[in-house]
Amino acid sequence: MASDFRASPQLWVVVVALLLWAIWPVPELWAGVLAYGVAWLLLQARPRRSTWPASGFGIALGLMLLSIPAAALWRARADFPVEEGLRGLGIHTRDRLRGEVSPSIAPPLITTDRPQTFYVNASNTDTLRMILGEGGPVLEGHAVADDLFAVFYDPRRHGRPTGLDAQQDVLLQTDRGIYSRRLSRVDPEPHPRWFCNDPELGWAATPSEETDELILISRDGDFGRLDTADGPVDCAFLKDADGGPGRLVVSHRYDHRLLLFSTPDFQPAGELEVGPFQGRMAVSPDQRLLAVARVGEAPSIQILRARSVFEPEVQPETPKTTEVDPSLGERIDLEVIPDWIAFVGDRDDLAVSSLEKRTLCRFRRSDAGAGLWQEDAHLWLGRPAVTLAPSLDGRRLFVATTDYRPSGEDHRGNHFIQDQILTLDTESWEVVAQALTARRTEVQVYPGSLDSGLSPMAIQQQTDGALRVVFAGSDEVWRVDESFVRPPEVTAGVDLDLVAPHGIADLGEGRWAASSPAGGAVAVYGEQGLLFFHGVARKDAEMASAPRGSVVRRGLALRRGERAFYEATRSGISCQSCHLHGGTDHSPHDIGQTPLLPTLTVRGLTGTSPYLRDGSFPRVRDLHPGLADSLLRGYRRYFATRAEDLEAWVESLPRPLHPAHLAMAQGRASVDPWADKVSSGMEVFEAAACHVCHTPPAFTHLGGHPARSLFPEYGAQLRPTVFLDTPSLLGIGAKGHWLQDGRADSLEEVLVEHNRGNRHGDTAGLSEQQIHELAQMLDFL
Amino acid sequence: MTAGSHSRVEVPEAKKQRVTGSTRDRALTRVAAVTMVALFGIMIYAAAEPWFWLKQLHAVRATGWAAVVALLLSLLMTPLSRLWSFWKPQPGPAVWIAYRRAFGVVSAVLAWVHLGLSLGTYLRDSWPAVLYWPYLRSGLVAACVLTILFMTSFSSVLAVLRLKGWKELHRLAYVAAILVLHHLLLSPFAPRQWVLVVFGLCLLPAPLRALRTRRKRAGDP
Repeated sequence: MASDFRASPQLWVVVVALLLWAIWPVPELWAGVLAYGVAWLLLQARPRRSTWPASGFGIALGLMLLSIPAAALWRARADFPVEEGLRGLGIHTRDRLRGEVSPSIAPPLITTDRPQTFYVNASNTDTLRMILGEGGPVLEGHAVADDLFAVFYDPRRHGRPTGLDAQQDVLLQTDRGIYSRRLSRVDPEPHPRWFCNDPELGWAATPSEETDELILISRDGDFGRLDTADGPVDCAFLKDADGGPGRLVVSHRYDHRLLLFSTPDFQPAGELEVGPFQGRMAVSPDQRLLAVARVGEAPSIQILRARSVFEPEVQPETPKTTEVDPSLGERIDLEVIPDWIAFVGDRDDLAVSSLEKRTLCRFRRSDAGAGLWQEDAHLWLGRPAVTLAPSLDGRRLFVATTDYRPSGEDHRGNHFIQDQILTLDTESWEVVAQALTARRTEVQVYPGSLDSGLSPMAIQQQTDGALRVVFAGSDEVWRVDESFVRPPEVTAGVDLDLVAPHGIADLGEGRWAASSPAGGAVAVYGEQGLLFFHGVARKDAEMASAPRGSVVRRGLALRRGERAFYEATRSGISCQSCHLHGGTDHSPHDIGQTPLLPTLTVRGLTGTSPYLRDGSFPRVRDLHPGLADSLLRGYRRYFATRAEDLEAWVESLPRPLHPAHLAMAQGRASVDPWADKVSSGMEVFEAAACHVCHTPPAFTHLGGHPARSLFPEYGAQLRPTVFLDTPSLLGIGAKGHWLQDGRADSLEEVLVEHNRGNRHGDTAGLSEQQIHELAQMLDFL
Repeated sequence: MTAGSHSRVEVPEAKKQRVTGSTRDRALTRVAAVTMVALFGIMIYAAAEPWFWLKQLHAVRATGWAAVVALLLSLLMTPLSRLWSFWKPQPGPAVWIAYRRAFGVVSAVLAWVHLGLSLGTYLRDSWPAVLYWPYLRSGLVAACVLTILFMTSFSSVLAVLRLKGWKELHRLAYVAAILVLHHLLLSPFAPRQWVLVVFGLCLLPAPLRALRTRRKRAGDP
């Protein structure tokens, strides 16, 4: 006869605790502790040496009893890490450690297509060098504070890092030795976006900012690529009034020149000095004027006379100044950064949209002949123009947006997005028609699913008067009459050829081109459908066959992630609906919190876990099940790795370069004046104890704090449980409004008006001069 | 009792060396005194900080770290005593146990000081957050666990309440350590390097717990 099993008291307590917990299986640590305590108390009543029958029945009964907590534990396995904040803890700890281990570097991302600024915190050293891989470019560090260095990098000047791994080894050489650190590396593929076109010529062109080239395609399927300067942004075809060869003009973000090519042979035809940070361009209908947006520190629009484009003077290799020669044209100084621009109306008025202000303004040239352009009409949209295009006669302007709020009040609907195209009368500057584009079709599998007309990305009126609209969210191109009364003709199957299309161009003779930045392709369509397809980026199969861990292999995940970012969910909303092209729509939204909060940019997020304002998401990928797949009702297509791909792409987005850093990165300006200003500001920064939470080099310690503790007055409007994640201060000068709800209009306001309690930094004792130096330093980061 | 059984009896005797009240009191007094001195020094340092917010923060962090160190030292006593017994027979297990208790008691007191300071300063207007945010909740639960262990660390209390099996209850000290680790790994100010190093150092000797105390040999004092 088998003897009874004598269980230890400890085992009894654990088993009873598990059984108790299974009755009320709260997946949190306190519940387990409570169950253990109660079990211990209950077992006070049992004899000291308890036994359990070791018979078959006894064993079966024991296993049956244990199966109850086992089942409860299994059910709680997914909830437990979420409830206890353990999900993504490894990533958060990694990011924290990266900032704590000296020398530390931020941001931990290197992109090989654009100038960048790194900050390195290295203790006890007077000099610092950063070496991009074994035998790679050597970058000098510039001291801006005790232990803090700034490193400027321009791939065109310094060269690309050595190696081909997605994790780039960099060496930091200090007075104390050489330290190896790893950065996430991104080698972007070509990204053809919006076109410029000449239907008569039958050609369209689109810049690829990432690969510094212009991609050309003709209605006959001819295809070409032109090298440009650094960061081409936009292009424009100009006709010669005398009937001679036309010009193709290319604007650049990181170069001071407009490059000119003759058409139709596309040979270099000179260059024009207009300064860096050029933006989009527009050509007047009579081809007399070319407008170039300037998106740098002093936003403006440069109006160039076409004559200067056809007869450019030879520019020096190194510009003496970034000012434009006044003889070339006129300049409109703006208070906000211009986004889309277009000539409209009979008088060559200029329509200018602003992301930040969410407005559409009209500038008209003064009749007095003084050469002055003045804003004479202003329309508040409520959401920024995603894209705009004038009608062929210039009398109307078609504007795509995600909402229209003529009342002037922000929409209070939760996650409200209503894709639409507005038609403006360019004389009265009023909206005369509003067409909602998001629709339901027979592919609907859930009631109310939206699957067509999502995220209009480009509009163009064809020579026959019809509009072609390209939709990045639903991978479609519509042909629709401008009244939007009749159902659109939808070009089906665009998703097979061009994912998340952005650009549309009339090529004449019934043919049109479309582009896909995510897919890295352009295509020509006709009445019969797809005619020509040109992939300008690597094919998926080629990327998939690259070695695991290589930067090329990683590019495949980035491509899928970019597509996922633009793809609309069944609710009609995509990530980009609010995070416009990875940035922000500058619009307040109800995202489950009060008050309404403006959208945050997702650029420069890498290495800053946790995410969201309250730091409640340690990984970007967790937003997929938590938001896209549940609240926004998921996607039509299934991709097993969508969440991971989305995270990879978002984390590959660099922070926009500070305009003041460009000349230093390119070696065209001395770093010393800038470093002196930052140094004096850093002294105040440390005196005010800002570094305790905004710890260099990332200028965040990746932790959250109670809103009521930091901002008592503002926090009183919020729930007492609201925490604010400490944001990085890198690139903070680019924001138009500051603090969580954008209530501060300047950095000085953040430090003074919104810090009356002196809890958000010890700024109470700072002089006006010190406040100015601190704000200036923050603006320069 | 046979000769053979006699040799077996010696070991329990060594293990069951009585922890006298004076040993316990002496250990507690020493640990408390060292803690008080350390805290006093930290408070002086914090008081020198000009900004009140940082002053409060220093105090909160200092008491928190002191509680953590005391708790970990308490947990380290048993493995260290095992190791020590292979080197020197003195001090015997009773002294180690007395210090284990003393560190545990001090840890509980410091945890409540830390909690009180946090609720009175940093979280003054956000008390509900303590139950909402996992790392704050863990800290609170750890403090509660330590309080229970504190209360049952006195034999008079055990006798009055007629509690038995205190050992099973006091194994919650390990759970408290896990809760504290969780608290630190998610907290905004705790340097992760320190957290990982301190907890790593305390985990390293953990396997020594499985060792038996060295048997008493002839000639040992």
